[in-house]
Amino acid sequence: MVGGKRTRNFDDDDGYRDFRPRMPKRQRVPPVVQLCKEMMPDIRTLGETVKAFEEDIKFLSEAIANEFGNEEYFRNALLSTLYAVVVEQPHKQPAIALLTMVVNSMNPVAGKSVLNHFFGKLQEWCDISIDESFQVTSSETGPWNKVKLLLRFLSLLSPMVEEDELLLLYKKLFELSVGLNNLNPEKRNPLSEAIYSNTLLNIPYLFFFSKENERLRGKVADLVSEVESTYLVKNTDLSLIREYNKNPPYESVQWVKAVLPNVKRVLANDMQQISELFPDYTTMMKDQPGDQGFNDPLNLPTIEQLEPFSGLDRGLGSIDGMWKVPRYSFRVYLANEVGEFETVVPFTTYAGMLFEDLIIDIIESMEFNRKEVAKQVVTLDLFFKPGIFAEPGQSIAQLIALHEENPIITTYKIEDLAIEKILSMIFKLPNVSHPFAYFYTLLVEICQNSPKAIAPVFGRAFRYFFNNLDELDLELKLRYLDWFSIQMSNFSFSWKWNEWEDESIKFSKTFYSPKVTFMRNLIRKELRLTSSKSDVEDSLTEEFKPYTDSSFVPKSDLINYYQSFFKDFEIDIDLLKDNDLFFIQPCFPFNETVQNVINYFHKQPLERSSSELMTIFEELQNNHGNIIHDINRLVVTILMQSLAFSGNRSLSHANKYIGDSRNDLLDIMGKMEVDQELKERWIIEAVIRYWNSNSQNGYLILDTCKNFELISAKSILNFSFLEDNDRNWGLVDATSVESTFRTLTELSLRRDASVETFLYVFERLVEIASETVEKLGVASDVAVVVPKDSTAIRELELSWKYESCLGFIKSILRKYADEYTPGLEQLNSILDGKVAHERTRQTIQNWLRELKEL
Amino acid sequence: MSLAEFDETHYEHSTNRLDVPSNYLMKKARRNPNGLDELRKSMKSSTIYVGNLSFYTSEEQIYELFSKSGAIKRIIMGLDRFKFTPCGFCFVIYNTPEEALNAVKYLSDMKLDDRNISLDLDPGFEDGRQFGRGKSGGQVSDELKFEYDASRGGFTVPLVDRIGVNHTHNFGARRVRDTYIPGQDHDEENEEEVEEDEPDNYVPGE
Repeated sequence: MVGGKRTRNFDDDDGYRDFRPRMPKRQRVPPVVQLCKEMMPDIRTLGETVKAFEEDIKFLSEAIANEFGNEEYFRNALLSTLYAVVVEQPHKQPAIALLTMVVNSMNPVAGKSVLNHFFGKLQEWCDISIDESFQVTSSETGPWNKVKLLLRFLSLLSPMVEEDELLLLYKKLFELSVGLNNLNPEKRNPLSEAIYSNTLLNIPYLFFFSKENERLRGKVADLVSEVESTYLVKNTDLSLIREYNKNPPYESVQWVKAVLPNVKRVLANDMQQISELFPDYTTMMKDQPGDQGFNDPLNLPTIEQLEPFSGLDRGLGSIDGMWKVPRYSFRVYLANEVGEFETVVPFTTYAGMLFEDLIIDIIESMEFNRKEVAKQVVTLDLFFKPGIFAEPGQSIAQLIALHEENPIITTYKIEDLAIEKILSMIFKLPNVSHPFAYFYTLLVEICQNSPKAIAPVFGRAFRYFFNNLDELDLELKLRYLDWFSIQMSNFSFSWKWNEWEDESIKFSKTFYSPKVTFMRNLIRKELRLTSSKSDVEDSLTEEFKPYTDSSFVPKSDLINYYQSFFKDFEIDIDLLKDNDLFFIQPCFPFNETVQNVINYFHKQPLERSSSELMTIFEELQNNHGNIIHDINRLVVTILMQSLAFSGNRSLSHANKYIGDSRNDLLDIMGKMEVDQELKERWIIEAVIRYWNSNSQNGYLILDTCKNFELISAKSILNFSFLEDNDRNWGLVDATSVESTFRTLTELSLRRDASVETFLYVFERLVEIASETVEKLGVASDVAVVVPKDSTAIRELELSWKYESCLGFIKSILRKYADEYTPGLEQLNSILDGKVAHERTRQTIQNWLRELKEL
Repeated sequence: MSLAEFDETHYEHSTNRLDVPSNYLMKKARRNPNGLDELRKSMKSSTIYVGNLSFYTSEEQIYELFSKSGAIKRIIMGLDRFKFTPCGFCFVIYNTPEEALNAVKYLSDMKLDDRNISLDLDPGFEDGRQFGRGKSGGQVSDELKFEYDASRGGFTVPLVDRIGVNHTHNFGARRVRDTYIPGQDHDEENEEEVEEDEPDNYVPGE
């Protein structure tokens, strides 16, 4: 390429050309800036190319050793970059440590400066951990997570640092965790568990470059046995945060319980496991004087200072916050699903735990660049000993064949590992660290990078969740639904629907079957994500074609609704069409009157006067009152449906029409002598029935009505959980469930959040559960069990309904714990008043007790 | 002009951030005396610009996807200023600036209606910006494209104006992109000239 053309051809925006006056061909930057611009990216990607690693270390270390101390700019850029890699891409820590020590052997002053910088950062984070004014950014993982990562890095430098000084850091941290743990012998202390687990997890890194150091081994062994004897691991079991309501498909392992056995195992047997895990960098390592020390002792906050922060519930960072509740390992790729082997390194090994820790750190600390995260998490194996994982992209079939041939060959798949950990973040309870969009699109990104290798991995996860759907927590079902639909919409909706046909054949007529409900909601969601309906339809098999009918209530219900306005008058059901105003159809004698209402709404707001509307409705009453049951109900319905119809082009149209007519509506409805609750019910019903073919729109328009204070949050919730012949849409329909959560969340964010609405939802759900269990006729001291026999449809339906109702209660209690906790007494009395079934009451009582721990 | 902090090289992260102004925005800012202020404003606004949408993508679809990164206050569809039909872009206004930045971080390049949408920061919506600025009423970028794009109105440039361009594979020639000036009456002379100017002179290997 000819040099002169370069800059222009490198224009990033396609087709965009900048005609600004010619600038000098290259901006003149000082040589040191130029050097940094070239060198820092190499440090950031150190180790990504295994072949070039040795050369990179050599080249970089020489450059750093020579350059360090010349210019302040270089020094700052270098230290910032090293620090950024250490805390954002911790899998690269050993490479950075190696680089540091090679530099140290050539230029001890530079080595010392790096050490000082990191120690200074460690001290900084210790101070921040008790700083209430600390400003958190979205990629902040928390001071204690930073302490973990910095301690790990310092541990890697063990050949270069005075080992006693290093071990003193461990000792202090363990003392702190023991002290915090002993504050209250009964209750778990989140911060204590975090420090204990984090610090233990770092110990093997002391030996990364110092496996042969017998003295260090002895001291570490003493340290570990000291911790073991002083730290008391507490038992905590919170059913509210369980991912599965009952019969979990696997036994979950708690971090704080697994960490010590894992670390002890990895240190045993002459540290066999360490040599199998960490790559061997000894050929590149240079001799270290080993006498570098820290300038000052580490100054940790006292237990008294830390106590107010030790709940880790102050939002000081995403990963620290995960310790707020007991931390478990979440699983998706189970051994028995594919063959008799694991594809994810088990969490009950040090390696498995470390991989989980690393992947979560990467995901959380680089949330500002999902593309980089997508790249790093599936190439994590490059930074460990080759041979731990099977070749990337191998299919399960290949693995099964390999495993049969040679049962000791590795079956771990890096893709499975990475994706399982990302899923664990999506399915995290009680809350998620980032908006869902991040994780969903991160997964899409990974799949786009290598669809052939990843798509089957997703497929297995989809199947796994589907198979375990019945017991899955309600909120997690919604997340599964979201993830599935977004993934599908990015990959032209292709899914092997025939796999799920059996389920549909058996239960497509049922209302509450969790699996059918899921499929129904999924197909509707897919339809909402595309403007080409046929893309979705074409992906479905014959069995599922009927699912593309997105009606909220069946047509017969809709007919009944419209018929209920009239007496001695038969509506013409053939004229009932989707997304059209029924009342202007010619079968209604007053259709012109309704047309006048629409015309009125099309006028500019200043040209309107609600008296005009009044006149129209008076006419309606006078001319056609004989066929109308309740004129008020019809008027409210006509008003709302005319607005929905006028604004049917989009949500903002609807928004505008309702906003412009707000005063008219309030005016007219204010004059009606009807209970406010009833009026609101009419409004809601009118909108939802109008948008029967697209209830999402209906519910979003209700949000608009709520924002304009035409209806209250409570009325929406009341409507959603109405019962009709044992059918309760609020428990199954995704648009309704989402609306409930949206409504409650919006309320919880208000400053003046009143608990009343929250109590109301609880009460309503408890009622439904109680009624259902009564209908089931289960004895008071017996738990409801979903029958295995699939022919007892009524029993099945009722028990499914019961399960979803309880699941709902569990979810709202957990999600809105802050709102519910102050009302505990009322909740208990509601429970006692409404629920006669002993077992149901016990379950809910137990949740109420747990509320305080969330 | 220099764009202060936006032009600096940063070392505080181990990789670049996705929630920064796009190159397009940077270039625009450079030519605008208030560019720097606009950029700073766009980092703090709750509004984002969404481009490369299909003309058929509805507000509801946008809601379904964009609500995953925050609570949406308002969606403003970009419209053809003559036809009042969607012309392939929109503004999404969130409740908070963080949510807007999140959307840029998490949702850029995602597929919506089978198209990779593009997201950009935006200093804030002002009335009038919902309309296409192209001569034909749609977006300028559509008038610069010569490929057929079914979900963005097919050929924006009328067939007659493409004659003489489409047939000659004028590899990378400058002239092609500027032949069509949207909305301007092309007089015959001009068009002839174009044809004369572009003989099929491609000789393989030359």
